[in-house]
Amino acid sequence: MELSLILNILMLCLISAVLELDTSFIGQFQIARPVVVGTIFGLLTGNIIHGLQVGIFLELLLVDFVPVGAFVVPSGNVAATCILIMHSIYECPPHFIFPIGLLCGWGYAYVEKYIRIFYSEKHELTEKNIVNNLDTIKKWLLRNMFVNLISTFLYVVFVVFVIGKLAMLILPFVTEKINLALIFSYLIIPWIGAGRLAVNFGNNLFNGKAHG
Amino acid sequence: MDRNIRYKIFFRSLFLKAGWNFKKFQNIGFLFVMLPTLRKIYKDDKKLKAVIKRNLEIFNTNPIMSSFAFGVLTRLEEEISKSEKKNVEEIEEHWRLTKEAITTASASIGDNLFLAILKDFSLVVAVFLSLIVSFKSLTYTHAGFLYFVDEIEVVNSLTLLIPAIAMLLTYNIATLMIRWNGLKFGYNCTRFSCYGLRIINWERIIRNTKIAGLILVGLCVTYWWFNTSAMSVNISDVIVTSIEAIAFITLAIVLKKKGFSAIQLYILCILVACVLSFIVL
Repeated sequence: MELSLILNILMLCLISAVLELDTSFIGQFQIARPVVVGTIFGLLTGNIIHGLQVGIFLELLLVDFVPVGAFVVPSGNVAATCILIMHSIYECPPHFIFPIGLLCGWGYAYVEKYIRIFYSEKHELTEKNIVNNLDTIKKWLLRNMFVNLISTFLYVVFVVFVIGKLAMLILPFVTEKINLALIFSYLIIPWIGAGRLAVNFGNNLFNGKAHG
Repeated sequence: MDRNIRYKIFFRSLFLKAGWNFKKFQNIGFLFVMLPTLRKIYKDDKKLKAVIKRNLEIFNTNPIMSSFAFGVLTRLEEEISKSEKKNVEEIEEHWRLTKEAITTASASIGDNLFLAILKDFSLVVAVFLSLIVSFKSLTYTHAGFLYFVDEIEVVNSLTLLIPAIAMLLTYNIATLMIRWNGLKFGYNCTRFSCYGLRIINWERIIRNTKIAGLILVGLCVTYWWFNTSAMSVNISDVIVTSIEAIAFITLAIVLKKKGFSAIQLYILCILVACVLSFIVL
């Protein structure tokens, strides 16, 4: 792999890590949603259609997860990034890399959960420091963001270079029959998503409890 | 509310979740948002320290709806600072109770409206626009009800940015308006209008968004069906894809009610398809 390509991949991983800050740190403007990330990465990797497709498919599979309270949901951003970078550098078929990327996005939820536990364990000390010196609050928030940025970056780099390579080792062993099954499952995702969205919108709509 | 303070609270409220922890949830983010107000009201360092301890108590709500809480708590903080010493404890208790009540109510509305329904609605808008954009091209790759162009030169690739932009606009215009106006409502309104929460008819908004979302999902599937029928040479192709569509939509609905997530259903489909391919092919 050429040095310029590695640098480009690292840059993409960094962009993904910055976008991930939107989910739990800055604004919640939804810029880390797979459709947006897929479009951006599609534009950057030269295949915007594939980026949009992966983004929409991921969103349709993640409609069930609502990030309420302490519940950490699978990261659509990390999944989209991993799928699009791995597809771009290893030129593997999207239906093959999609479930792997999806699982990696799911795995990231555990990384985020452990980071939150790490913050929480030092919470009393943090509060004490803030009460003693109010200026530490900004530093503390910035430190949290930086830790999250670095951990997301390292996680995506790990997935792209290690999990991606392992996936490439498995690819030759994927038989034609398994390949067909993967294509079929990939193509029915929009139907699964349509069914889910219909349930979400139709839930309690006709019994006068639309807010329920 | 002082305009300068309003801008500061609005800007800082974007970082509410940055200090999230399992012990007191968003308490550090809350203090970060309230800090300009507290510094303005309490010039005495000793008093400020005591107030900060109170502001570090548990705080947990929906980040978008939190602006209502910031509005009302800013006003109550001003009342506490102006009150006589003997009444301070009573008003502080009122502050705590109000905080608890407004955070619970606004979280209940916000989580349902923004994190569940508006998020899904903005997705459907993006899906519908991606359908329109991709159907305007000449060659397609079939995937469920979505078609994607094979050759990028067929369409102007920039038109493919439309779904993502529309999704962001749909979500953010509504949420930014609530974030900004919630501060004003919360500050100006009394408990008789639930500190501004009752000014907006949330139930009607939720209901209308759900109906619009449901219509858009229906439009997506119908749009797909008409275009597929128009493009197909063989009537049997249309019948097979229609049966496939109905079967998987029904399966997704039924399994949702059984507690299966969409990801679990997708993985189940891979496994079943693998087994069937080995048996049938």
